[in-house]
Amino acid sequence: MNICQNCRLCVPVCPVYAATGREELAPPGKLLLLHRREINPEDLAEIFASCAECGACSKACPAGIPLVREFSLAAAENRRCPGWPGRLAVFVSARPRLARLLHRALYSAQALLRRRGKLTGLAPLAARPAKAPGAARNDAPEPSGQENTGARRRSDDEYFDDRPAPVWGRKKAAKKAGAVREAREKTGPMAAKARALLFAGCLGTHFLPGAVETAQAALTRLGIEIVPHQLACCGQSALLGGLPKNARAMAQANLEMLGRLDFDYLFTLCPHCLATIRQKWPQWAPRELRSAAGQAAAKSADITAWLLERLEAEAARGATEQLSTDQLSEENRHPGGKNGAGLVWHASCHGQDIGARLSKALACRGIELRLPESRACCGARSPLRGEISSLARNSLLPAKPATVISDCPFCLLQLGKTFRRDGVGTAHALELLAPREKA
Amino acid sequence: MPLFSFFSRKNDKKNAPAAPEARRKNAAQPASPLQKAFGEIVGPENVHASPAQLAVYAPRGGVEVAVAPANGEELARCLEFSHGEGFPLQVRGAGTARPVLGDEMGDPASDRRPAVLISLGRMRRIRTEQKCDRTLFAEAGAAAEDVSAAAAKLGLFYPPCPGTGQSSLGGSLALNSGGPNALKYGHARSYVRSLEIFTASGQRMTVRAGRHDAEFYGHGLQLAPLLCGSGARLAIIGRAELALLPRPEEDITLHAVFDDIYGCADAARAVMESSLAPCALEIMDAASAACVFAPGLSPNEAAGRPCVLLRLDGSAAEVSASLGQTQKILPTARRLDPAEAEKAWRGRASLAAALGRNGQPMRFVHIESPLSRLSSLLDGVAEVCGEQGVRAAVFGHAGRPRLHVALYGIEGDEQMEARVRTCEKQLFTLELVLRKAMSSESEMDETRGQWLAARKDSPEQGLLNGIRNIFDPQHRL
Repeated sequence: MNICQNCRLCVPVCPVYAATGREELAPPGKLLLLHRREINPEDLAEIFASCAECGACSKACPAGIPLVREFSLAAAENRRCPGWPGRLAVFVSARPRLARLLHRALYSAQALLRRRGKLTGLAPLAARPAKAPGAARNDAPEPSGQENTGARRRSDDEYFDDRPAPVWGRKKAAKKAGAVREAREKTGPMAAKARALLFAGCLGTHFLPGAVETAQAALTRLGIEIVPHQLACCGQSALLGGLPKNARAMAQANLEMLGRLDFDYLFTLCPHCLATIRQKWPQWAPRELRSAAGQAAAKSADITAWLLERLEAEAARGATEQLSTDQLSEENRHPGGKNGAGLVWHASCHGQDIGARLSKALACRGIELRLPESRACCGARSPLRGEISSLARNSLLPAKPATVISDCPFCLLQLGKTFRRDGVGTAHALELLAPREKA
Repeated sequence: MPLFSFFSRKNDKKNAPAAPEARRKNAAQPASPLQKAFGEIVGPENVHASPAQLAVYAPRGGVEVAVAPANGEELARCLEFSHGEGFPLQVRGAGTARPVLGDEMGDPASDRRPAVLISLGRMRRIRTEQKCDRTLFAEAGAAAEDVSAAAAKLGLFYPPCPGTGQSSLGGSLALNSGGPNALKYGHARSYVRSLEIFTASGQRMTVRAGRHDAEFYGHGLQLAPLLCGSGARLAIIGRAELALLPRPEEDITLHAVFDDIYGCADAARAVMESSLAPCALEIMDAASAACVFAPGLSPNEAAGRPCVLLRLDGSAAEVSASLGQTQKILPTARRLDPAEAEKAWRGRASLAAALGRNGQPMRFVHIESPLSRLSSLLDGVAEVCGEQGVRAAVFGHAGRPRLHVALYGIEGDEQMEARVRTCEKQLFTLELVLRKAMSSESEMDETRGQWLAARKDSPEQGLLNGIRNIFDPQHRL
């Protein structure tokens, strides 16, 4: 007796199958292997880890089988512990300050190797990491951390009150957070100054500092107060690296700090971080941190989608001009230049409806954002990313892109690598939506 | 995000968990001589022999190696080699078919030794001719959806629409499937002009089905129609030349809801008693309709009610006349707008899979009966399932009734599974009472096996076995 009826609607949408044509890597094949204990775990680990986790199969499945969830669980079950480079990376990612310090050293080494032509595989680090959000105030708290993450412990932070964590759960947290936000916003457009945390994520900090600064500037222009913080990695790097305990510890360290902060929004630049905050943190949180996890999940939002929503709401009220030019941006500073020449959208797995909405919003400003006919995953999450992203390249090239735009830093990193030889640039959607003002 | 997952080393033996028994048992073996031989023909990357790959290609086991040739030449060479080595053969198209009647019939080949599985998944080229030729050439691995799309590009129409569109052309020809459109346009066999076939010994030949292709002493006795529907028991279909039709000028869908499934059966009967020639006429019970129409298809109150889906096509005048006539027969029928209609038919095509949405495992029974006995069949299904306490969902083609009955079990409940099996047997008995024949779509079980075994010595079976012996004397396929 089976739930899957082998309709194979998940197959044509699977980027891994499209790139490899291997039946065992297609969703029905993986589903068949889920409970086959007699098969070599090394083979299973390789098969399940190949999943790009784009979620296209789950969406296509008429029976609603949560294929991606099943595969990611199986991958986690079969994944082996990483070697010392992986452990070191996780150690560093739990310490934002150390990561920032190392960034400069690594950047110099990378630049040197690149000049000598000895480094072709890795994505280039930004010249400098993004400034810690609100760093100018220099009063950002640090994660209290758990011993096994190595995050620094900081007891009784004097900058934040030590009120006990409320006992309401996630739904109540969402309701209350919404009510507070509504009350603040009712008094006028950000009259009472909403407070927001900007969670840049590892990739945002080290590879796309421009997008982080753009987001900070846009929020400031909208009158939102950016709360300083020292949140570390969301934990997904450790999870994917095969260190689930470290991932939990990272999330707990972040949650401990979040529990002490007063904020209305938790903005992320990376949809993967957002998914971790919303789905994993509530699962990983110990009892005493559940309310903080619930709050974080309820208040979290993707900054691109949120800004776009505001833009659409303003447009509906007939105030597009004011918001797009006066508040959000100064014209002609976006990656495509004056007319947005050669801007082509790459839909990330999480933000598939954003492209059409963004294109519509930008059309009001006379900027053309081309949407490719078919969506192709860049495969950034899969070890087979090289093969998969070449298919994405083939699907985007007919649109003659000068710059590929996406809302996901991980996609941008992969696409940057794929399009390097074609001379095509990449940019975060934020830089189109809320371009930086002239210096 | 997983910035540092780039750095995690893939093969760190020091940190790897201790190797369990399974790992030692299945540790990568060097390529066997058999794999090497096939590798020389199709390339080593297209020979699949690891336990994980075989578990996917042949979930029921009995396969030593799976081979995926890319074209007719490679296929012929693979077959020649397998024939020389005395391997039985299994053929796989897209893998959408449920386990079909076959080895359970007691084929000696299946008992002898593990088989070589020929996967036609790489043979998926489609070549279209000029529009005026109304012809399309497609290899056996091409998806039915791609074949239809290629025909549509020419402004033409390939009517058979089996399953969800992901089934392979070779599979749909081998099983002579047709989908809902078969009511007006017939099954896949009707659209074959010629077939390139490969016998188990690797002999390659082209057999024709054109009306004026004289292959024998007179017209009419042709091999291609015999091959269609033979379930790849005579030969393997490698490529087909398909006849295309002009695209109907207009195509409309009507949706009529009823209080119960018997109302749907009466409506279907009324339609078929009239002079209407619908392209498709489908019925579905409440559970099935809820899967097709919810969420989002207006009107919402129609979701979850037993219904009839009727498609009319033809010239504008024909459709208009048919519409008027249909509205007299089915006054409650509502015409769906094109977007709704597309959604509804897509939902119908994937309905068998969508019924698993509640997470309960299920088994399908496929029953046919004459339309005049459809109500009796529905009565029988309700009675059998009620007696056994098994929940069921019913949908199917109503024009020439072929019902698909999904019987739900409960995960891990062996008693319930036994009751589902009993239901299956009783439904098969019901089919025999109503039609005196067995549907080939159902999975083989003990009862069906006994029924077939009892007919083994009948003159019809003797003739069919004789034909098979001519094509494949050693029963390798």
